[in-house]
Amino acid sequence: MNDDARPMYRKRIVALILVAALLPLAAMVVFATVSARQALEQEILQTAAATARGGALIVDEDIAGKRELLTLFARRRLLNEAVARRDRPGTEGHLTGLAASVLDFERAFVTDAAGTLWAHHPATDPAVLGRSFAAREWFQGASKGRVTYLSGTYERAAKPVRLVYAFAIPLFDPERRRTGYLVVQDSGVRLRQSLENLALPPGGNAALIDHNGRVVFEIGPARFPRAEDLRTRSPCIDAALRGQEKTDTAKFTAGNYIVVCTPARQAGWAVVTYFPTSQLLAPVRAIAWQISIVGLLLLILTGVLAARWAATYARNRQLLAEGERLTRELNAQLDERQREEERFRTVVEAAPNGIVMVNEAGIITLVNAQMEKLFGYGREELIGRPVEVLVPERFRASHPEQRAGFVSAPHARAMGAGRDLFGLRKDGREFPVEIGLNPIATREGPVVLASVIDITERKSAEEQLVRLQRERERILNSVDFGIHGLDRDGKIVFENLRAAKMFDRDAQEMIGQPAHALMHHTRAGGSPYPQSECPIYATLHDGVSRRVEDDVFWRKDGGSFPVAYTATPSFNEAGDIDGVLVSFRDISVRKRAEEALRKLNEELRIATEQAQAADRVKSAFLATMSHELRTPLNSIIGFTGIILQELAGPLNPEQQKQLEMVRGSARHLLALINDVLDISKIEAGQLEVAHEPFDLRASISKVVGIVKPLAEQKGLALRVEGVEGAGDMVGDARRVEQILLNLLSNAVKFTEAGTVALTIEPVMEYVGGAGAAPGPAVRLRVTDTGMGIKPEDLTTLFQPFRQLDSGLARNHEGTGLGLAICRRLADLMGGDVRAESRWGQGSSFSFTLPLGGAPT
Amino acid sequence: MKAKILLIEDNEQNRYLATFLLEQRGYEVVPAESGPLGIELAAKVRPDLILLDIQLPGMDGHAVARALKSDPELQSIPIVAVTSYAMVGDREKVFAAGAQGYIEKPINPETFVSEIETFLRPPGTEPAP
Repeated sequence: MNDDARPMYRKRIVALILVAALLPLAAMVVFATVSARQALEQEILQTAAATARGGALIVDEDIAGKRELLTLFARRRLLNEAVARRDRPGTEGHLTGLAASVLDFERAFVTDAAGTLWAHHPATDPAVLGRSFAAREWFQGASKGRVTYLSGTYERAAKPVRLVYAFAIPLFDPERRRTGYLVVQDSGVRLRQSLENLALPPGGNAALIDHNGRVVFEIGPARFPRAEDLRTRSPCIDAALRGQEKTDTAKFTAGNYIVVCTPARQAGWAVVTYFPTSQLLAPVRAIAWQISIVGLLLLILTGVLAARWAATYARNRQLLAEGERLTRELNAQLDERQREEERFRTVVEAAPNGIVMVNEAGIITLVNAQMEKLFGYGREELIGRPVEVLVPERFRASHPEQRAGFVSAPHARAMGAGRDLFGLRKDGREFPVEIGLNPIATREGPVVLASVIDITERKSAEEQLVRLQRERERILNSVDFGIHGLDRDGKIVFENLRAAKMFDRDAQEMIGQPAHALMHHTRAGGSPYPQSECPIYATLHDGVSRRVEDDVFWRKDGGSFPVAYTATPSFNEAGDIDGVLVSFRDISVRKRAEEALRKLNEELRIATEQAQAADRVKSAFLATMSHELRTPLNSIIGFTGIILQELAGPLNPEQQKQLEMVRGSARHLLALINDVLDISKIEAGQLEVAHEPFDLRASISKVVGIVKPLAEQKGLALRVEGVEGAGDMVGDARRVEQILLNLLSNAVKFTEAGTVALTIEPVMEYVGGAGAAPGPAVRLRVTDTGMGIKPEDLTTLFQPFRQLDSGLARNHEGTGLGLAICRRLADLMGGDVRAESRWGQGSSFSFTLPLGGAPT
Repeated sequence: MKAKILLIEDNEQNRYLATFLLEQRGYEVVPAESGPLGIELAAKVRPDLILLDIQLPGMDGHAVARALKSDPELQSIPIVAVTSYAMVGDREKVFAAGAQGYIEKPINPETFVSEIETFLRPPGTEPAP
């Protein structure tokens, strides 16, 4: 906004000034025609005076400023001390500063109180050292007073010769004694440049005249003779040097001039402007025109000045605005800085870590809430105290040194460099910590921001982890089977010692190796085992546990061992398969046992087959033998019978008796053959019993009919009791009769006197063979009053051929197979035969049969 | 007139024993030493009864019985098996082959003929249906 408004504002001011200046100008042109010369003269004089006054002002300011500067230098204590010591380098140091402070000062030097130069700058001319300048006007002037004296122009000592002037001021020691003079030689170059900026009318000149009336320098086309005393030319210069402004006409070598002399009162000098009068002697119209032109020029000058002034004014306003803006920005920056600090404090306060700020001296300057909590101190207890209060006693001594080490080479890093660090709580308890250090440069100097974490829990978790790992190792290595874990790619993650031993490898060496290629590359038969067919890899892909009973793994030396293994998948938290656990067992021993067992079984099978074959041969042999033996017996018994019937002729009693013996022996032989045949068939499982209805009563009477004559022959009573309890039943009538006949025959055979009794009794709930359902049965009991059976013989009574071994057989006819056959036949029909006896008192044989026959 | 009995038996002693017992009771005995000869004689002499040994060399008794029973001319003649085969099922096998009777060896000379006579039709009667 200012940028836009400023030019407009400026134009308006300039326009206003121009309008204001135009009116007197117009009037002036009108009056010029009336009184051209006076008016012109007056104008010129006024303009010249104004210029001269401006020049005088510039000169006064310049001279006054330089005087002041010199005065200030002369009061410098250090300079005065250097001068008092005649310390030339020290003094010249000050002179250097003085000479450099103003462009016009081409040379500075110090003389002693007598005017002898002993220090100067620039030290271009060593010849001047020690030279006395007591004759110089500046010395004369300065020695008479106490303030800065300005000399008139003079020709300087150094080449090339040039007009210069000098400022000189006496120097005093503390006792107010004059110690010398501080002098600067002024070239006036800058002052001249300033005066050249003064606007002079065409043909106009200006000159600066010193108090001696000599020209210091001139500006403009005309020239005064150098260093000439102009006072002889015009008395108005004298007047100006005395402090009066004066106008005059003067005759110079170039002609007549109007001269305006203005005093520069501060310097005691004068500024003279002068114009050639020839210009004023032109015709009136021309003068009027000239005046108009001059007026216009003045107008323009005024405009320029106004514009310049306006520009300055605008610039000042701009500077003001700029200043305001800077102030605002500064305030804003200050606000922002405050806010930043606020934010910093908030962040620090809310940080989850304990944060403590420590200054260069190790003093705590800030703590946050977490820090208070961790260490149990209130912040007011910590701020202002050394940070070592938080360090356990045993680390305290070395802490300041370590802190200094950090401050000397600060960079953000963890504290402690691998050492375990501990914090000390207010209550004296220690706890493990982790500390991060951050150096921060602040206006108040470097500070360290430390971030503290309580790692008690982490420590204990780490210890727990280590313990668990050790535990795991122990378990893994204590089991009697190999275990290894594979990752998703089938690489070995861990291996227990047992496994490593089986593979004849180092467990560490196996970690990271692909398991299949390492120990499962070949099948038992020697053909390559593609990984794609490996059950362990299948488990790795489908997550299904597998058990393989018979496989081989390969050792480092290229040998293999038989294994049974299980592959169990493991899953990560997301439920994805992240590996497989393989546990395996060397089954060499089992394999050998199995092989041995297989061989045994094979041998057994062969032996069994051989036995069965032998049995078949035996059965065939027995069948054949029984036929072959019976065929001749058939004719023996047949013909014996025919002869005994006396069909072939009459027999005498002796022949009759002997033939009957032949027939008895033949019948015994036949019974023997039949019994051997029966027992063989039973043993071979070839004997079958009929399962058909029959009348038990009929069978009993048939058998009793056979036995009865034998009993009567021996004088024994044969009693049958309870026969009314017998009736129809199911079974094999011939075999039932065979059993009953055997039992009754035996009873008669082994009883010499007394009774043989057959008792028939019903049994309600008879349980035959194992697993048979209870049912009705009949029991046939044969009791005799014979010699009985010894207890030790009772147990072997039903075994085949026992009678042959007993010695009894010699006395009694019989094959010794009867009871064995009876028991087996009874078994086949679902019943049983039992014996009870008391030695010397008789025996009792009971034969029980289920009425429903043998269970099918 | 006494009945004609065909005796098929390979053992000479047994053939003689049976022949002796039967002839003692007035029967006419036609002996045959083997099955095929027995079948041939049966067709030729048309016996009233055939006594058949089962354990014969070559063609056994079962085959002979089946052959006889398959001949319409001879199937009405009763067959009585005489065998030392005394195992379970032997009797059933013999009956299955077509025999009407079964006598176990060794024969009892006292009862042998009367046992056989139970299978002989009274003279002049027709065979049972």
